Amino acid sequence: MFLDANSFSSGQVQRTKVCVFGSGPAGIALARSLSGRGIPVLLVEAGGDEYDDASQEFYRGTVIGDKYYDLSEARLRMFGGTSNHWGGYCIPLDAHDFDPHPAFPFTGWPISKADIAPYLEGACDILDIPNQFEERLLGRDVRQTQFQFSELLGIGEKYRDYIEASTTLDVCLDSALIGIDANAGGRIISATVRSTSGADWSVEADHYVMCLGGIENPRLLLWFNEQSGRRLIANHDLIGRYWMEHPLAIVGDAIFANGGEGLFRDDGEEASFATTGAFQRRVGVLNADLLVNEVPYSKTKGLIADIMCVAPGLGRSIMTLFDKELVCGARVRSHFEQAPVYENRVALGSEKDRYGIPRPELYWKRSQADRQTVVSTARAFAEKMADLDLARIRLADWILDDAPIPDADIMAGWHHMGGTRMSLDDSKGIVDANLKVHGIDNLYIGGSSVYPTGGYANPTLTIVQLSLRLADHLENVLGNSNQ
Amino acid sequence: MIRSFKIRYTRRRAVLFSLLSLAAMPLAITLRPRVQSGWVLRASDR
Repeated sequence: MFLDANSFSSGQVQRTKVCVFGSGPAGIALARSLSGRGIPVLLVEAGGDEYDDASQEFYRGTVIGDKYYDLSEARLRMFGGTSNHWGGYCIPLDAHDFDPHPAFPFTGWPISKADIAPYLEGACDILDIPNQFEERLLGRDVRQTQFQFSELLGIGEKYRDYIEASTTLDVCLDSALIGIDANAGGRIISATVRSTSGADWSVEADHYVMCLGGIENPRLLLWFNEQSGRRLIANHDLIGRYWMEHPLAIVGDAIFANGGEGLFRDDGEEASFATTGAFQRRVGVLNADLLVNEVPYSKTKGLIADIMCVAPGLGRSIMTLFDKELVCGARVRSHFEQAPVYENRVALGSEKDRYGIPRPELYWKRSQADRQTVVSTARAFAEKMADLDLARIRLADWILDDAPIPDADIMAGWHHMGGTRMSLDDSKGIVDANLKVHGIDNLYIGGSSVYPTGGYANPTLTIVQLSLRLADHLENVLGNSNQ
Repeated sequence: MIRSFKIRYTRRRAVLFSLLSLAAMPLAITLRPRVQSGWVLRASDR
């Protein structure tokens, strides 16, 4: 049920088995899964039931480096979290995304795709998409991929009725996590929460899970560790490091013969491709997708006129097909994987929010290796399309001129990954393979901040898979502690 | 006897393959898609 946290008095204590902070896809999937097993859960959300400027203001921050979004626009502080402005793109990570890449240090997960595969069906069910992600090889290096598109806008809405009827899942909105208290044995004994009303109350739980997003997770962990005299997490410097996005670049235009038949989605709007893992290892680049979107009739005509100047014979045959409405022009864009680098990070800024917690400073740059990934992927794709006579691609000028990736209005995917990365080694990661914070017995982290690398896959589907896996783990831990 | 035949045969085969790959190289270069004014084209397009 929903509890009115604004009616709580200062000093009030809420007791539960598992306390989950954050009601985005990571938090709701975890809380729903645990409560469905009869485990009492308190879900604590800093934002309110609906969008509110005053609440959103807490998300302001500074970006240092490449052009990036205003941090208060790149995420949402409300019930359902950032899923409220989610695009709905879903695809699982590739198996090779979990493996170390020989050319890139700090790659490789401590778990494999097989470890989260059992949770794919459940994650698809939560996100209202079919579990269907087929691939087709186009030669040795390029593959056609298949996204699914969730129409779920705001995961909170989907579970509102469930929460209202539930006897095991309580939800407090307007309640921001502002502190944690740990004992000398490395165990959290309580968490302090501030209601919008101004009352500070606390939660006492067996286990605590931070699912606050890829910027808030590292920011608050940095702050709590500072407050503890850096005793909570030994490797303070690692918190917030190796932060990643999926930068976006327009890589070219395309002309598809036969309307791109067999390549575009059933609705004809988009086709998606990627290179193979073998290609990425051989060439020394990371993963990237290529999304091909049909452009209007007038732009298609312009592309045909352009190719006519370069290859008149080809242009004439395309024109014949165009007259029969068998040609489509398209724009090709790519979301590409960023190499995890130490310098890209979330740090604590000098300015503080209304609760006295430092606002985030995001240090973010695209590297030369990132550029190489998208350029090599675009070139391989263009060559394969010509080779198979499926399409002709005109590569963007910045690729041919060896120029930097141009800034655009849409710079990246709003995919905040890394910052509390997963590793078996506490000198290389903040959480272990079970998402438990190294050195703390009962603090876990959910969401894409635990990703050691990001692949090209939009992160939500994997976030939900990881939450369902964490629910299994917590159920086991709670079962063992009750015996 | 058999061993020396094998060596001679292997050497001849190696030479033959080298010559064949040299002859095929310009063909492969010609067939590989090339970039012209930004367009990545097949040899037969031009």
